[in-house]
Amino acid sequence: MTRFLINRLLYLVLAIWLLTIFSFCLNWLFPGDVITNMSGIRPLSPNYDMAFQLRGGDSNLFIQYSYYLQNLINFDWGVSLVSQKPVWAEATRTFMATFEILLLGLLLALLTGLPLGALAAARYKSPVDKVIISTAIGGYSIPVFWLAQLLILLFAVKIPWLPITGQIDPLYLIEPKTGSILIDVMLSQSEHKTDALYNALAHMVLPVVVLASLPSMLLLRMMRNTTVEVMQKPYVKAVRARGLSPFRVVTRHAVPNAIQGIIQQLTFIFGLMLANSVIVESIFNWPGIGSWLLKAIIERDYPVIQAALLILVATTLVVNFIFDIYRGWRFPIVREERYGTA
Amino acid sequence: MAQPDLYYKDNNPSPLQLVWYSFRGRTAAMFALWVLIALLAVTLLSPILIPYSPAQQFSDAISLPPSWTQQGNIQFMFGTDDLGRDMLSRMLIGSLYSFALPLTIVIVSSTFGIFIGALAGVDRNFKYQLLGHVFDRVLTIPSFLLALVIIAILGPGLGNAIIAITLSLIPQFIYVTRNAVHSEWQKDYVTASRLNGCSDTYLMYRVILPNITPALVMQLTVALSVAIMDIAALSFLGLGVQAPTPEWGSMLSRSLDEVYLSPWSMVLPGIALFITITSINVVGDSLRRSIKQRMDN
Repeated sequence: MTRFLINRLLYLVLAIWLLTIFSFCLNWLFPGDVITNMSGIRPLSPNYDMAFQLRGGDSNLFIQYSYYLQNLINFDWGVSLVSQKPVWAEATRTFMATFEILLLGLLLALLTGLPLGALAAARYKSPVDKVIISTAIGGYSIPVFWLAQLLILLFAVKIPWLPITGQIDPLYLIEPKTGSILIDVMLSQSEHKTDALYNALAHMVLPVVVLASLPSMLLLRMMRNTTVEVMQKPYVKAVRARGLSPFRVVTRHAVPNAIQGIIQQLTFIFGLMLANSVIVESIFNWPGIGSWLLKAIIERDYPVIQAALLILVATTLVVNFIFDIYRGWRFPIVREERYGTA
Repeated sequence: MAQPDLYYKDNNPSPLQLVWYSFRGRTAAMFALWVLIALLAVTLLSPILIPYSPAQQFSDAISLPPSWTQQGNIQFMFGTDDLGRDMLSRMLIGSLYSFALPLTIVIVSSTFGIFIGALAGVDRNFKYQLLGHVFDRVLTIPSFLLALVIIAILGPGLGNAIIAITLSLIPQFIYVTRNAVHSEWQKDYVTASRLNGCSDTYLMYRVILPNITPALVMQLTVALSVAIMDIAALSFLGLGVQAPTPEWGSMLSRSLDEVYLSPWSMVLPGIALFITITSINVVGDSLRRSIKQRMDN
């Protein structure tokens, strides 16, 4: 396990290091002044000379890179070209807002996708299975933005149940501190805390459902296919021969073994959700990292583009690492495949 | 037994043909395939089929509902949008950007990807190892995010979106080809051919390629649905096809503000996109099952 952990950790560090080099190179790929792209301070500003010194403007590339890395680690990520606000503070706030709906969406996807997939596998080739599986194929063919629009049309225009924009009604006067609206409401000193909490949850329903729909359909299909495969294994036949009820066979013997393949795919699913969050956030005006990046791309706000890309890609890498470690820890067979020993 | 036909030869179907025989028997798959063929025909003929120019505005018919409703007019079959442009013409021309363009993108990126992947699959020294590890990492980043990274560097626009999607699809092709070649390489028939003294080129094109074609065709359908989704999503976000050009994704994003006034301007392009992607996914899924069936036998 230690060997596995060290190996994975080395890959993570290597990947993140390559990522910082890539992000450093972006300053040259973007048009305009390199120091301005890095710090967000324009050449005509009085602070420019200081930023130039701080980022080693007249030294060679290696020294500049070391300064860059230093600033990165000190969380001095410059200021936005448009709003002149510090990038790092903005980045943490938007990241928390995104992470909140991502986590809830993933939870929803797991809670709906896995049981339905197991059900379809248990009723393999029956009408139930066919209905579930054709819904899944249709479900993951719906473009995310169209689904969002359909739900808006249904639940906000035709039957006005749910709010469709922002995190919370601004009348509740909740100060955005962490960015995650539920935590912010908990921390706030407002007198209408419970009302605010319900309001925030109502705002969250549509983005989370839209975000969860595609991964849930994918998980459903994967779960069904792997469970069907596991059900044909000799040990399941043996368990069945011992006279266990079909329900027990599926829940106690087939599903735990099928889960292992699913966890491998979770990284991919998380990445997909992260990409889709850009679309979902821009539709529902969710102040997350995706809509922040989108706004920056349209406004050509280079320090922000850089920070958002760095965070998005680093998140996928770290999540990949976490799922990998969990799989290695929980299922020794993964480690065995690689090294021949558990 | 006397053979009446002197030139009789046993017909050995290729792996792709075998998969096709199994594919042919699936009703849903064949239906989806015919939908795609019809769609392709309509797309290619769209410049002839359109009743009006997609940019022409009819000031007396603004936001007209489709012809099958009470207020509809048969002159504008799918109605008009908020600027009085004919929806049918816009959707027909839009199919060029939403269906024909991704198809071209996939063909280009698959050519590069399969070539590099085949090289990586044959070459099994350090380079292969390194490429493998790098691609395992790159693949955890989904293609849409990769396209977004490239767009962020190049800036928004149709040309840049095309470049971004082409580049973002290549790693998947490399990965699939490399793995397919790698797993075929260890099989007995390849060893036999190598013992016969086949050159690497012959081995690649005549021995291995026919056996991995089904897997590559399946990857093509996956990439096509991803490419259609990506280009529509980028246009929806305003980073791809720009304003006056009709494209299903950008038509959807335009309808976002007026969905309560003219729901058809949102429903129709969405259905077109949905039918296209569903058909591709059904074809891809049936291919996957046919390949699996062939492997099991």
